[in-house]
Amino acid sequence: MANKDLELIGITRRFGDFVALDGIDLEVGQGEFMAIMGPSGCGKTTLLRIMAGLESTTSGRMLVKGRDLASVPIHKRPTRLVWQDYALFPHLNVFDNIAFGPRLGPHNPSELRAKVHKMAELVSLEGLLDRRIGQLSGGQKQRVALARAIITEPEILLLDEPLSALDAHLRIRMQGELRRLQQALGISFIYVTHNQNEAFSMADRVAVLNKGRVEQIGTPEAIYHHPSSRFVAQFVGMNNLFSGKVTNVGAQYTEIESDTGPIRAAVGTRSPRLGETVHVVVQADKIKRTPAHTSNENKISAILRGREFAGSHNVYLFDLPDGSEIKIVSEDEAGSSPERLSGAASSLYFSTEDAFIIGFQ
Amino acid sequence: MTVAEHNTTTAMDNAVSVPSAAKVRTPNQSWLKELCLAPAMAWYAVFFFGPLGFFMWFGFWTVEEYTPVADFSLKNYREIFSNLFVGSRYAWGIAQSLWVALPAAIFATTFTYLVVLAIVYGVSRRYQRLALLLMVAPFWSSYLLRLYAWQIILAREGAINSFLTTIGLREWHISLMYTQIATRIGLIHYVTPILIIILYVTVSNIDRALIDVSRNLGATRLQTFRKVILPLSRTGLVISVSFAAIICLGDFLSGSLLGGGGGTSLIGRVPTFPDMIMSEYASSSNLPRTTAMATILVVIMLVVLAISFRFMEPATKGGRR
Repeated sequence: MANKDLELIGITRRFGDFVALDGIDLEVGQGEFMAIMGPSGCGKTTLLRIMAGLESTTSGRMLVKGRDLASVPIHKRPTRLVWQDYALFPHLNVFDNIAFGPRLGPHNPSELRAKVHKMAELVSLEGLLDRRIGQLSGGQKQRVALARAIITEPEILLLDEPLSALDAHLRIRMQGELRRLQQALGISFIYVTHNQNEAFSMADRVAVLNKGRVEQIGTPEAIYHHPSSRFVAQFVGMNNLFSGKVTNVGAQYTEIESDTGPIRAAVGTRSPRLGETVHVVVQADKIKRTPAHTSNENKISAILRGREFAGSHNVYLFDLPDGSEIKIVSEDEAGSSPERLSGAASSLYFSTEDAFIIGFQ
Repeated sequence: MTVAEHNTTTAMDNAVSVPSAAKVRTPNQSWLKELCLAPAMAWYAVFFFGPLGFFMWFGFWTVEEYTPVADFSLKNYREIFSNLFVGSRYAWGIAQSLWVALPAAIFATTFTYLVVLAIVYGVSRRYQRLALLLMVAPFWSSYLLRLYAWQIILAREGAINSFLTTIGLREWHISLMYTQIATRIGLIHYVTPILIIILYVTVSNIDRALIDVSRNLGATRLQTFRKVILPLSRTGLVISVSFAAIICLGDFLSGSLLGGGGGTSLIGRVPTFPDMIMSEYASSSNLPRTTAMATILVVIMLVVLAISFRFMEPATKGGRR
């Protein structure tokens, strides 16, 4: 218990008939960087606001370092939220924004000044303390919002899509800085985002939320390579899904009959039953356009619909006979001639080893 | 034509074409803009600046044989200033006006601000418009009618005192009628609906997220009000006070109907300055001098406005480090 920074037990929130959060259980370890990921409307922001004390729960308990927060008033909670659009005080300059929290209680002005300067240094805001908020760039505002929260020494920092308003270059830079900051402070960060690159590149663990429920919690690798449900498989990464009934459960492979034809998938630690409807996940970079001529290879026919050239690799889009789409990522094939895009029938290949089954009981 | 000549010609052609390319008119650069502004400009010229200019000039006219004559004489102003403390004692009127108007404006703003805070933060969004409508509704009844209503309420044998007699509290009788307190009551009732709109716009525009931020950073409700809501209402509050003060300074109806002309106050039984102007207008044949007095009132209002602009400056103090 003591080594958990945060425990959520059965957090439920209803707005009238709408269930925003449906029994969320979540544990965040000491000094952990946890990302909560999900599509818009999945309840992730509501969950974050509940953790910040800005939203009430319909039922459920929340413990920070073993202490139940139910009776703790909002202004005494050890959780700080960093807002998506920063929400800086427009009537205060950078210094006064950062000093807002500490000034609420008893403080020594000269110590506070030193502390604010230290914070400014930590988030690279030196020399900007006299600026008005309107004179700052997006990245600078982001840093002020961070400093304003961190200076109050919270036990957990909550971040609500803090990088979504920044340009791509700055976003990558801030990802690194956030991670560095989190390690320097040694406190837990809970980071809400709909962007998997952000979640996967910063977080120790990722929780995927869908329709108010936790679909999967795990390390980025686990979630990326072994999605546990159809939703996670589709939401995360560039996964392709084939659905069908299990027709053969063998020692080497499990075979399913999909709309695209028979597909053989790797055997996991558990096996589905015969006749059960399951999904087969194949990552986009595991499907090839040329056969490897091995014995355990799947072959499907598809029609090429488009290609996106992304410098180091190409993304191809194919239509399957049943009308569904699949995506392929392949390293740039040097010297390949421009594709005749529309309607070129082709065969695609993937190894049994790269196809795994999810969604069975 | 040599190659060099050819190049020169091309360069010249380019040089000619460049300025014409720079003359592309953006959608905002259109004579329509001036055309649309023209009616407003004409309106202001004919119905505001024109009359105001004439009005101010008229204050410098002189009177010969009971008829105003165009002139540029300081005689009227000299008479008024020599009567500041003696004779008509205009300074007392000005003091009485300020003493009536400023507290009324501050009280009205404070009261309205509290109501607006209650509406914005206490009433659910669905009913906010209704609440606002109810607060503004008195504005649609005649000002004169409202003053008569207050007479009925405040009079010696009026509604309040009759009620006090009925419940046996005769010794608690109020005697507010014909005091400047009654004047202020009328004025506050007059300006409140206008201030509601000004302050509602101010307070409802404060980003709710800032209140959440403040609470999340550890501020109590009271601290959030003092450190976030109040500073962010500053401009609205200043506009509200100056707006109310200017209306109150120019009003004479409340002063004469509820204050009884020379209503009592700490300053004494002195009429307000607009009241003095109205009396002069009714009794004196020197219309230019009355106009000069009104011009002085306009200048006082401008001073109030200028002072309020000073208070509107950004709350951030520089160099607080």
